[in-house]
Amino acid sequence: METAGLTYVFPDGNGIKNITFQVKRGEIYALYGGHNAGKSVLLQAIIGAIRPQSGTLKLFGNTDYQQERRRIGFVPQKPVTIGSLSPANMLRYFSSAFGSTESHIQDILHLNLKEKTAVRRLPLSTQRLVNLAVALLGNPDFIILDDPFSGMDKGECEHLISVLAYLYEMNRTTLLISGQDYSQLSRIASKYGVMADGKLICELTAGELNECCQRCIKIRTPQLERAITILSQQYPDFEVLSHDIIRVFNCNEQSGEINALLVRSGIEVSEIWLAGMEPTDYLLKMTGGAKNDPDYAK
Amino acid sequence: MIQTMQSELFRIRKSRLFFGCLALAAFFVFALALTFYHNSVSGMLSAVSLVPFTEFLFSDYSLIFPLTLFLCLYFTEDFHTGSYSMALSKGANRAQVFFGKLLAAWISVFFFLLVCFGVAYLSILMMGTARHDIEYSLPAMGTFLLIQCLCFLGYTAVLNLISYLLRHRIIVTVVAFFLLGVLYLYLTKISAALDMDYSLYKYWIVGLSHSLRINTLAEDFMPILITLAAYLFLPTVMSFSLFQKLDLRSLERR
Repeated sequence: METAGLTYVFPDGNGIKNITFQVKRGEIYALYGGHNAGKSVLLQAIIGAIRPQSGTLKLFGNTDYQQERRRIGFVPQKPVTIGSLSPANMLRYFSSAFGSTESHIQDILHLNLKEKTAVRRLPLSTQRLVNLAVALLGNPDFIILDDPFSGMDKGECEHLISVLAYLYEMNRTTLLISGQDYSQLSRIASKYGVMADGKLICELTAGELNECCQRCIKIRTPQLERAITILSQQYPDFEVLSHDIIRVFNCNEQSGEINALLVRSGIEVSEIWLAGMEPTDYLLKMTGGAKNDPDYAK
Repeated sequence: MIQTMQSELFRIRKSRLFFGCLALAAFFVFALALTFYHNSVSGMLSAVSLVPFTEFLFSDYSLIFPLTLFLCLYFTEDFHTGSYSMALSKGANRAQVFFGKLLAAWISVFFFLLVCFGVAYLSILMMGTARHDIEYSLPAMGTFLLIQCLCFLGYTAVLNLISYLLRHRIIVTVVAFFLLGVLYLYLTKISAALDMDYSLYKYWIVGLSHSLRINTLAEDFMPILITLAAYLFLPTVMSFSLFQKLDLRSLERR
């Protein structure tokens, strides 16, 4: 899936602005952002519930995406329930509407289709699983989930994650998941898109995110080459970030010793500080949700 | 569109609200039959005539009220639950969703009326055949009932339009019932004040159904036909063009 300049702005200024991103086949893409970041609006624009004011959308490489939508499954944030339909009847309703045969995914989802209670009277997690079962009708290649972990307890999240992981591993289903709970998203996501104020601030892979967040000691010195020579003897795990900044890994408790070593060797240390943070904090900071904390990395 | 219609019919078939409203209408119709029979008996008539009985069935809003309740909640349910997004996500286009739903509503309204007519005629026949003769004219009654069915389909299209305009189920329901009362009061009053031959009230589809008479069908045929065509066509076109542009997230208008 590919969007270019996708825009939908509501009269109050909220919405999505010029969103360009790509979800590759077999990827688990997590759209991360706080409330009003525009995640849901973006997903609704992709599935066609709102018509973007500008921008283009390609599904499966096809700009004529209406037909390709048959290959998509969508799980909304607020579970959809139809009147007093039971889970089995709701599946039947949607399979009739989509013209798809009922899949046997209920075994994986642990859905009790003999349940006669209306879906709207079932727990939120069951409602969401029923919606996922609906999304899986017709064996889609691409599933979009809007904040699937909201309102669910740890056990329910575990179950959902295991289902999504199963789908990914067995069918290589591409997943696009929005959410604001990094701890859950990080369990499955292979790539992150960070959104705030209707814009896609950045995209990074799970590896890149970990790298950005890695705890380390950062040293600013005008004598970089000499510092490298000295550090490489005792602290070989380092990286040069710019002409005067170097960061050293796996020695977070030894900043004093490093400082003393450099100073003893006659190297001027302009600044030395502990950098890096938890990915949650890092993402929060990016989206403008973190508090000013002196310990946070620059 | 056929798939959407089939699924919507399945949904209506499983709807407790539909059957609740149908049961209520059937009860009202039974009460009407009982009243008509009582009037016939107390009028010392030797025969029970089905022609005035057919008119009598539409002499009040017995069928309209339960149907309004069902249709308002049915048309707005997708806004309330957000199910449009799921239908659209699977490649159904808006035209398919719109017409599938409207056709299903029309079919269910037709079924609703058939059941009510069945209850009405069965009741009056069971009450009347024991002691009285039954008079009837099938062509006149058939034409009248057909026009009544078209009136109800037109009214369904109007409620569909109101639902897409207002979206919130409570607001839509209140407005629909409010219209029934207000239009009856004012259109009849204005027509009476202006001493009009063809009452303004008959240009309102519910008014047309309410005030339709079998013996004046032929002479008023053209205005009836125009009213029916306008109510079937215009609200459908307007609501379809509105639906094409609507934000179909799970939003009731607040």
